[in-house]
Amino acid sequence: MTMTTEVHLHHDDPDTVGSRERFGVALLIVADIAFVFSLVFTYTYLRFLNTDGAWMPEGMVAAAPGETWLVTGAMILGLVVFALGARDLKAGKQPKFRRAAWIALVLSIIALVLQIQQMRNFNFSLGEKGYFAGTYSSSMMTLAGANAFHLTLTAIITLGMANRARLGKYNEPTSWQPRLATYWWLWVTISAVVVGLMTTFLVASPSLPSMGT
Amino acid sequence: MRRLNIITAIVFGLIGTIAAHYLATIIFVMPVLEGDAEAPSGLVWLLENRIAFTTMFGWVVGFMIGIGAFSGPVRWVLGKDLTDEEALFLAGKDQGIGRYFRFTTDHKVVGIQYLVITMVLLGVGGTLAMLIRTNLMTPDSAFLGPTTYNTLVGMHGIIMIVATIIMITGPFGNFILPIMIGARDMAFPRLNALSFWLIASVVPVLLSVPFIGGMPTGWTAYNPLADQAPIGMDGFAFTIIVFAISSAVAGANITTTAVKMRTRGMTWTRTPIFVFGVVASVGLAIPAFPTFMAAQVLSGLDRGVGTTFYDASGGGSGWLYANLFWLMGHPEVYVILIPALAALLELTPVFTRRPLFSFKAAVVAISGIVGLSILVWAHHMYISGWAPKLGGPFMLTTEIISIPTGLLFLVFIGTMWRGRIWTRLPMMAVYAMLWNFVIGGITGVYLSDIPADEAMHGSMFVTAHFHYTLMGAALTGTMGALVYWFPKMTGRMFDERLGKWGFWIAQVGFNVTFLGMFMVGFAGQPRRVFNYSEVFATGNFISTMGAYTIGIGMLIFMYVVISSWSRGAIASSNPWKAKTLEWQVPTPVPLENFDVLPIITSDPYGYGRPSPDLAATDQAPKEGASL
Repeated sequence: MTMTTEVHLHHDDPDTVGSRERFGVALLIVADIAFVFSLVFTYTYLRFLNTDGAWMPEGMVAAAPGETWLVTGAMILGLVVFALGARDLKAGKQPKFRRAAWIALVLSIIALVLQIQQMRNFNFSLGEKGYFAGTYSSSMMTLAGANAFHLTLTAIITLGMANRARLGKYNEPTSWQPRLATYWWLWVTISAVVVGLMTTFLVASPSLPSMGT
Repeated sequence: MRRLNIITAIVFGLIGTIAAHYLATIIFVMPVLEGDAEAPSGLVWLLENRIAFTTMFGWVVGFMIGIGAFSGPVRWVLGKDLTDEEALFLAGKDQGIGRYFRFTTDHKVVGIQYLVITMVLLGVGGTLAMLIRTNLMTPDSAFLGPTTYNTLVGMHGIIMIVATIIMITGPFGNFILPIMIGARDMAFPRLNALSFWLIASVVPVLLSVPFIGGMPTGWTAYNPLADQAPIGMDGFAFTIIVFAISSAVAGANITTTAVKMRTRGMTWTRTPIFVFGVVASVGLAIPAFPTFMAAQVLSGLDRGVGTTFYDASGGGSGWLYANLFWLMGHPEVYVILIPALAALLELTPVFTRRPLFSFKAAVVAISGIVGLSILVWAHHMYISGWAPKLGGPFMLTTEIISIPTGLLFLVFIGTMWRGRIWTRLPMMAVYAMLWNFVIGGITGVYLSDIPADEAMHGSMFVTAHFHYTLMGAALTGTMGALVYWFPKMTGRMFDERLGKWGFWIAQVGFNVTFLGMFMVGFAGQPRRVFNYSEVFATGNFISTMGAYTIGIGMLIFMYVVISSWSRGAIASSNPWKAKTLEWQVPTPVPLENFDVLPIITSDPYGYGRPSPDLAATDQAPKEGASL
């Protein structure tokens, strides 16, 4: 129960708020790490298990790693540009951050488009009933979908950053806000690199078909 | 923003539902209908699930737009930050009871919202339990059909799991914790409201499950059975996905608040034990629940997109589901249990007028339980055939976890030892919890043992064991916590005279129900069966009578909650003469809790020691006062 009184809002100083928000964002990233870990575990577990020899059924063509790395490359570039921009902002160079945010936004959108294009290019024949053929294709499509989801969120966050930078919302004392976005950029890029390495070098199953269920 | 409330949320939700349903039909079904050949049945199945998922998504998105959850993010992107006046409106200033039906950011409002939704869920889940027990009263009852029975068992399970996960961290973690640490609000007030309204939006989806085909799997939703279940299963999977997002958001918010917003002087050794319990719970949920979410995402993809994660004929594995599920499933027990025990640890010194015995041991015990809880999941899979060589290590970790749990018992007993115990209803909850949890804990040790588990796995013994833990310990602890903090949250005293009757009738009924269940489980009755052999008739009849007794007790208790809330005696600001900060602020609590933040100079359990604090004066702190 709350009583009605004359109140005015108390405001904490930007450093305190920044420290708090960095911690909170880090925890949300931990939750996302656990989710991505589950998908990575799924890929490696099913690849190792190779139930009924259906990890990669005969005749299935693996996804071309080049496309994966094209997406990841765009993300790495976006991260570098955004992080350098955030560093410039901390040094008081607002116009540089503004430019960097817009470039990073374009790169995140390019990466998203490339990711969707890769998903359309996957040559995973759907069976007669509409099912994916094998768990490799299921896992690849899911990992690509998760990356597309990451990139959509990244694009929205970067759009907000770029627009707010355009409106002059960021300066040295509030430079912790772009740094928060850098944490997110860093994490989604790391997850793309990990998934890229995994899906490039761990494709064929090392196991004979098992009867595991 | 000012016009949005629960009515607009429902309207937008319905619009979203209808729009998503038609959109999904056009996008997914029309191309198939345009073909000449008849669609294969497998494809029709996928399309049905796809439409179901999209429709549920439409409901939740529409509801969240209608309640105003997206106003903040959209305004942030547009660079239109909230003014102070708008922030005060969002916090519910001068809105009376209407603030409980809006996207209100005040942590106290969110706490009350959580309390109400928890009681509703417990009520629904409890009613389902009565129906289940009625069916099991006689061996060959046809009170419920087998399909309905299976669905109700699953619904009872998941509703109770959701309710018990939020029953402490939701109401008390939101209302009490920020005041207890001397903060003016949560770290992320809008995320706080978001976490609640996500749950509120998805409850109708969960409750719709029996009406859209049901779920035959129980709350564990094991695959590949879930892969073949009716559309109700989509409702289950979708609920879990949204609930996991809500839990992650709430977990990040509460943890940040506790870690970063404690007032000056509140070192970790001066931080109330309840804060440790809540942080341990939500902190454990942050990495644990996303694995459950992933399990349901993969299940949804199998059902709606045609992947084969759990379908052995397509290279999938049921073990994959079991691992992902139990990676969450066992820590989840402690997510429920730890904050309830911590709430009782918090109130025990108040009613014994003694310092908490070995505060540090309690912190170590909580930390130990959290650490070990993520290393025990496979004890649920001993007889599944998965990794038999790991059985030994998992048996060891599971048995070791009883050590920190036992340490908590010592803290309780040590605190009460030679104390002048003030036996009010919250303290009675401590006694009941100790009795119940001893039984729940010791039977858990049996089940952690592989040879014993091979005999008892999947039996009513297991059902009785986890009810002793989750209901006997955690729900009992929550009842104690509710009575303890009721005066601060509602401004009125809980009617203990009638409340004690409700509480003890429920406790007696509880023990009758589940001791009967131990009996039939030990004799070999499997769980999740619609009918059973005559040899189990007596035990089941006893259990059903016990369950009805619980129902009567809980109805009395619920009546007392409602009647005390509406017309109970007005409470003073500190009726228990407790020393923690939430009792030092006025009741009702002002919007930002403290005009001037307090400075802490001693621990919160200094009973029996001369202290310059104001705890016993029943006064709000003056500006700059030390507590």
